[in-house]
Amino acid sequence: MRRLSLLLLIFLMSGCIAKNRAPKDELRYDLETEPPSLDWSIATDNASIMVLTNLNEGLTRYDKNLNAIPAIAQSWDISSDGKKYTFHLRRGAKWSDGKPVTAHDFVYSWQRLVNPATAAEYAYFLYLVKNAQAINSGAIKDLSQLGARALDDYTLEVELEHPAVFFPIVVTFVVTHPQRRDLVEKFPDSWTEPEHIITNGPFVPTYWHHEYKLVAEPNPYYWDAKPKIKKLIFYMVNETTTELTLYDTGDFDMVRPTPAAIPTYRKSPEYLDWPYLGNYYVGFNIEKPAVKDPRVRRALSMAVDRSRIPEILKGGQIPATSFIPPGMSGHNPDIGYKFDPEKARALLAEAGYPGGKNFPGITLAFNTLDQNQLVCEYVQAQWQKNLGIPVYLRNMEWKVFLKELEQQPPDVFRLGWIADYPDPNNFAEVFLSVSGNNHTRWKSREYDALVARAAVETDPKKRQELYDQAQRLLLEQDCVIVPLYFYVQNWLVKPYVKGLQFNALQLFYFKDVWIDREAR
Amino acid sequence: MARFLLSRVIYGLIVVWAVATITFMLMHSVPGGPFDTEKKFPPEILANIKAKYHLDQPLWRQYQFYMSDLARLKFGPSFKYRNRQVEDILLTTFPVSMYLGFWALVIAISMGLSAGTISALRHNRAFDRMSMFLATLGISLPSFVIATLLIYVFAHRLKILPPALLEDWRHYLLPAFSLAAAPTAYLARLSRSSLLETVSRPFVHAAQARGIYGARLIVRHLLKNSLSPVVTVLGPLVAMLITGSFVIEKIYSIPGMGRYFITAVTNRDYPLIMAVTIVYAALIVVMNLLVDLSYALLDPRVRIK
Repeated sequence: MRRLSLLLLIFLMSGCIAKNRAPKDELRYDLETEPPSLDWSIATDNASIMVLTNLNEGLTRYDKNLNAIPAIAQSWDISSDGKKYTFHLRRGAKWSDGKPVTAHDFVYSWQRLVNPATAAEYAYFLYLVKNAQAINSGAIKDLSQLGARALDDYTLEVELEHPAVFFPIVVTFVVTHPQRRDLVEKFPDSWTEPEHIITNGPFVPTYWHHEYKLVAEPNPYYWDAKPKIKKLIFYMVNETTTELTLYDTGDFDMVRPTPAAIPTYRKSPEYLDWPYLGNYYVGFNIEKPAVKDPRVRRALSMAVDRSRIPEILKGGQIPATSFIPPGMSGHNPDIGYKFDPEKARALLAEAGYPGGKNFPGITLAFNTLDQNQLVCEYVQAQWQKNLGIPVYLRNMEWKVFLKELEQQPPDVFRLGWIADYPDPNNFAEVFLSVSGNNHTRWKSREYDALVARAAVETDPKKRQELYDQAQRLLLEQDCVIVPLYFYVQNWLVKPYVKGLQFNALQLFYFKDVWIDREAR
Repeated sequence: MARFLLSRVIYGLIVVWAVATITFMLMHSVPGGPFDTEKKFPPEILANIKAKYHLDQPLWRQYQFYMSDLARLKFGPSFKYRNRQVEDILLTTFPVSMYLGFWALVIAISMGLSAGTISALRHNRAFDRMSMFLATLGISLPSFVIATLLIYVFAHRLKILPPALLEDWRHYLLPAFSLAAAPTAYLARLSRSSLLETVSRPFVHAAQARGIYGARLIVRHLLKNSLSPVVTVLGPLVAMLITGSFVIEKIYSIPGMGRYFITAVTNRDYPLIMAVTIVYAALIVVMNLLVDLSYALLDPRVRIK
């Protein structure tokens, strides 16, 4: 028996030693969750979008500074009124089965996206295109009325509802990537599985064990420089300690450490912070009696010392007073209220609550998550300490929280906004009167008008001024939200992973990555 | 016998139907729906989605749709994994959980029964004390603590087993033992106390007087007469083990079905919530039927009419 167990032990150990191998030409990336759908008309979540960004290309793609540069479209012309774009497609672009990528593939994909029967959540991404919204809402039944036409195989003409300077950025996004009608119609329920899928980008999926891992290999027909890695492996490990263990054992090449783990890795050369286009804020339901008075809201905004937030969250977060994040146009760090407890107390007294006396108390609600708990407890403590008012915390499960925001938002609630595309319009739109994401009950015609004007303004300087005015209205004059910090990405990357380009959207183009076998 | 089986099957179907109906009602009464997301969509988009999944219909109509699909064994499309049918999801994840659960069961039965038997025979001796101490630990420690401890010892310190993932058979060892820990401990205690009771019964002395000792006495006389309580708990235990554990699957990153008992609910993925609940309920019904049938084998006094 003893000999048997010794043999078993040696056997197990030999397996383990064999596993401790040198890095191969593959990248093992933890997606953290199963991509809910690889149908790029339906995908909405980060995991699916990360995978799809590496499987397909649209008319344009991002350069490292998040400018839209030509991809499948070699060039484009814009009509003088800014409402018509003519894209000239690249002749060498091919699908992974060798067939050429044509303008018809774009038209099919866009029509499918706005077709009500597809029930695509991100159909509104193309609402800029003529008749898209009318088709999606069922007012127009004829899909060919969509303002996107193939003039020939390599020319795509797009008519917009109104001019939009950021349209080339919109068509980087995965929901606008072309699709193969023959494939989707032949396998309506399974065309996204590796045995059927056809893609036009650098990689094509070859294996997918759902909820476990997805393997993609280079597309042999990709028009641009071929990927340098032979395999791109997406794992779906969701437990944070397991993820870090697998990084430590060398099973994963890059992972995102959680806030709790950051102090352990902070000093490591493998750790890095990168800006992320997102804003974390608390918003007011301005119809609630306690926060109805803008002076009270301004006092609350001034009474939070944001500079201590990075200490609390430990991930290098950037304290924020304004809403539009750094790293894109429209950002202005001088907007919003700086920490000023004296002035905050004065404002509160002016509103009828000297020293917080008679103040009815407010409830700050958040969805249950460690980070939110930390931040909201801090905000609570700041308000109690600096203004002397009672603040109650209430946490809820995510979907319950969302329902409550929709139906009866609490006095104060925490939320965030992460960019869909790197244009200030994407942030400014959140607080339009008609926006479903505006839970503050604040409706300002003046704000709506400013944002509408900025969307069509081509002069960068004038555009900046319009966004400055809009933000002053939102954050100072009416003070509807209190921005707390700008998001930051935290990464652990093995030293042998080379050529990885970070950007503020947390999107990676893995085609440029290579594995340096010498580096250890 | 045939009548007994038939009546039990009908009874089982009623139970599953009742569970399905109650789950359906509960699930729809929880605030928040499958398509409530942080980024709100324009109303026409929400309308398209609701129309596609019949969510715009009154609840009793949805119930009708669901039950008529269910009668044809169709669980419908997942609301979260929108390109996949729920039956596909179960067909890829259930075998993984079942395989792991099967090995956990093998470990639990073999280790639990042997520990329980030896403890009973060596009543109040060192082995008994030790194994009952371990059994108390096994029952009271939550599975994530045991799993983390095992990972720490075998993957971190000794570096002889992988910490997670599912590439070859070695990846099953830690999860199988973590999953088996509590049932092993439970079975050990249960079989020990049951055996202790049997040992003092007169037929045991009669057997010994007839010269029956050792393994034959233990297996043919003692164990056979002490197994009824063990078999009773085995039914639900099997159902629990082979449908997977959320905690174990999450810690070891195993693509099994156990995760959906939690994630389907947080995602409000109605068809998936229904499917995992129904599968679990049906398994319990089937296992309990098997348990009842096996009583007759163990104890001739139990006659099935």
